[in-house]
Amino acid sequence: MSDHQWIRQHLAWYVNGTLVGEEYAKVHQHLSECVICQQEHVQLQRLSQSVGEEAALLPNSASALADLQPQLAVSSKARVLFDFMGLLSRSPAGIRYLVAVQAAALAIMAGFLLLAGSTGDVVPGYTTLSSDNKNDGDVRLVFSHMLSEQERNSILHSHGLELVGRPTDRGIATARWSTQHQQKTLESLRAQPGIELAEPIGTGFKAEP
Amino acid sequence: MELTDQTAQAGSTDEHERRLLHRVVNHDRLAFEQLFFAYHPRVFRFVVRMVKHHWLADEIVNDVMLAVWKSAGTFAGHSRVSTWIFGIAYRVALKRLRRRRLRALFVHNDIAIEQASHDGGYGIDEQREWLRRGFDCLSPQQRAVVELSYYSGYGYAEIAEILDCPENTVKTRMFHARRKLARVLPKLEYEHDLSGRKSQ
Repeated sequence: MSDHQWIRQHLAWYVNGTLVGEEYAKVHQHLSECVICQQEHVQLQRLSQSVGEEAALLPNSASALADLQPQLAVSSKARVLFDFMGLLSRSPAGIRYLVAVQAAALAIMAGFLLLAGSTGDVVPGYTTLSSDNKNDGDVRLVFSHMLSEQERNSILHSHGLELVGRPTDRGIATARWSTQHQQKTLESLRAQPGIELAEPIGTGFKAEP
Repeated sequence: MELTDQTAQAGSTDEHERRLLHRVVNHDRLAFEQLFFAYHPRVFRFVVRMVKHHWLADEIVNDVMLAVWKSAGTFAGHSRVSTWIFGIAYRVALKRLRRRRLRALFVHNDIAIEQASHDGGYGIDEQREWLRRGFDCLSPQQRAVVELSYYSGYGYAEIAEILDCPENTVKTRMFHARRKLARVLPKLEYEHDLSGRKSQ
């Protein structure tokens, strides 16, 4: 790079007074000899003066600070906690304390999970496709169209079943049954020649031993 | 001699600001307020020059001062406090410009320069208008260099630190900024001179 180019790259900071030492001397010397750089120097001085004098709209700092105060307060609380954790983590005793606190928190969470598990519902043996978990005491039945109403009532009665509402258009009836011996009842129903389908609703039941 | 005085004054200001910053690390609101009032107008001016929208500059300066409050402890002390704060301002401003895709508005082409060269209308506030049109031709990075040089009075080494780029990049940006301005300014400077003579 020629001297002239170097000077042109540094003139801007000669103008704002931040060049020092050799750099300052070099530019100063060149300016006394080079007409082109003298013109550039004058233009940069004008630019510098204009930028410096330009009255930009001044912001309302007091109002800006007032707007910032809530965020400072929130940030302060976070910083206090962060600093406290940082302080603890800087000493071996502090690290032990932090590990103990985390272990205690994990133990409490594990305890809650176990408690929730022990008081929850018994996990069902299986779930039917029509499961909605609301009608565990119901069974769906499809009677043979050959059965008379009397024969149908007789089957229901002998199995301890009670019809709920009316059968659907497709002839599917819903019956409420006792929670006792559901598997045996179901097997018996399915063995009846007048029953085409017997299917429990909901979560079903546990297989009896 | 004058330069030595300026350097000494800058050093003393920086010492004071370092003490304030140290107090800010310890959550001293009063110290933060002193820093805030010292820097808010300067940073605002710098940012508004870069982004050209006062509402956006307001938001950015707010973020910058909040970052100073939160991150005072990260100030390594290798530079002046002002360099550190202006560096934060530059990064936040660029990030916001990128995020809002406003940068495209500030990437000027020959058409913009052409318009600036031929438009008339320099009246009472001609110097301001002259400058605005000149700055309109520059990129945010070039505007930052010109502003930091001629309003904030930084040397190229410190500007490089603020903009987190090599010193040669700063020099090149200034050089290109000057070339772009030169395409706009000859006529304007001539008219400016004429009006100056007329007013005498």
